[in-house]
Amino acid sequence: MPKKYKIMPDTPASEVNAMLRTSTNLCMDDAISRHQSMEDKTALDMVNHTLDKDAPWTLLKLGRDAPPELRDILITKVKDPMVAFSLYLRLEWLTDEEDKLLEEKFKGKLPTAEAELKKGIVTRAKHGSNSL
Amino acid sequence: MAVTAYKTPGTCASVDRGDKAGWLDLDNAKVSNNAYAYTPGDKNDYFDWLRVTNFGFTTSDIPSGATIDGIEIKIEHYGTAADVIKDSALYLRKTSGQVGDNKASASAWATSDEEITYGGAADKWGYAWLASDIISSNFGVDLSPLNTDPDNIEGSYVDVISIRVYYTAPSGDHRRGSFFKMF
Repeated sequence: MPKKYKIMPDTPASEVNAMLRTSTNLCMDDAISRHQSMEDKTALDMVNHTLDKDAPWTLLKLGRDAPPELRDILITKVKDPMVAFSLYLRLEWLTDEEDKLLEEKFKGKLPTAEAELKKGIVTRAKHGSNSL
Repeated sequence: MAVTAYKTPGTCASVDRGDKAGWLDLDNAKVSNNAYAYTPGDKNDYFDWLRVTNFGFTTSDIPSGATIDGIEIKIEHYGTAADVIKDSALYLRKTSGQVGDNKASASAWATSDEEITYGGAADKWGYAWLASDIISSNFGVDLSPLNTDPDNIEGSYVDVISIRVYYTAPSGDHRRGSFFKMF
């Protein structure tokens, strides 16, 4: 049975923003402020208009509740190799395809970090650790 | 192979990396004394570059024409919260700018001062160094930390960054000099 997600592409952005507000321990976040300009649109519109710099934060906050078609748009916006590597370690819900999308952003670019992963000095949450 | 003593920077600067959190009390990164250069930080973002240069290597430390075999740096640092501050990017630099590998570690910084070593006797950081690159006052390190906490502003503190260089001296030079002096 396909997994059901709380957020779908046609979910009103206002509902997504409400979820964001309850998932952060700050009363207001810069990223939420920027997302609020999309209140009358859909989740797909909101994700498409997410700034690159807000994409990692949005993935951390909403990724578990959004389908891969929305998450992949956000992953594509991640540019920095170590930010991509950190998400790769931290997000236990990544699909194998999403693993590959993130790997393309850091493979061969972080020799120390990649060696640490191979040696088990840092580990992936997907494999049962709670590493950040 | 020979190795220099560890040297510390003569110049520390906060350099923009996309309008991120900048560094303060920069000169504290020149000496290991538990006074710190620091960035107040941000949430879920990397910070500006802490650029340390002017390490004062001379031809007395590394003879002209020496082969550079490896470069080792030590960074004393800590983060303001457990398991969230780590390296975002760590490069060596020369006059032309950053060169070679990004040696950033994915291990989180401790919450009390700790010393981490990068590189070593046979590690050239993915670049073919000349002795003149290292003797230049522009040789140094660019460090940008990352806060992985999506909710809380956390900062990073650096006590000192020090460098030593492994090299092989040009053994033929003295003999050739002596030979030509005969004529």
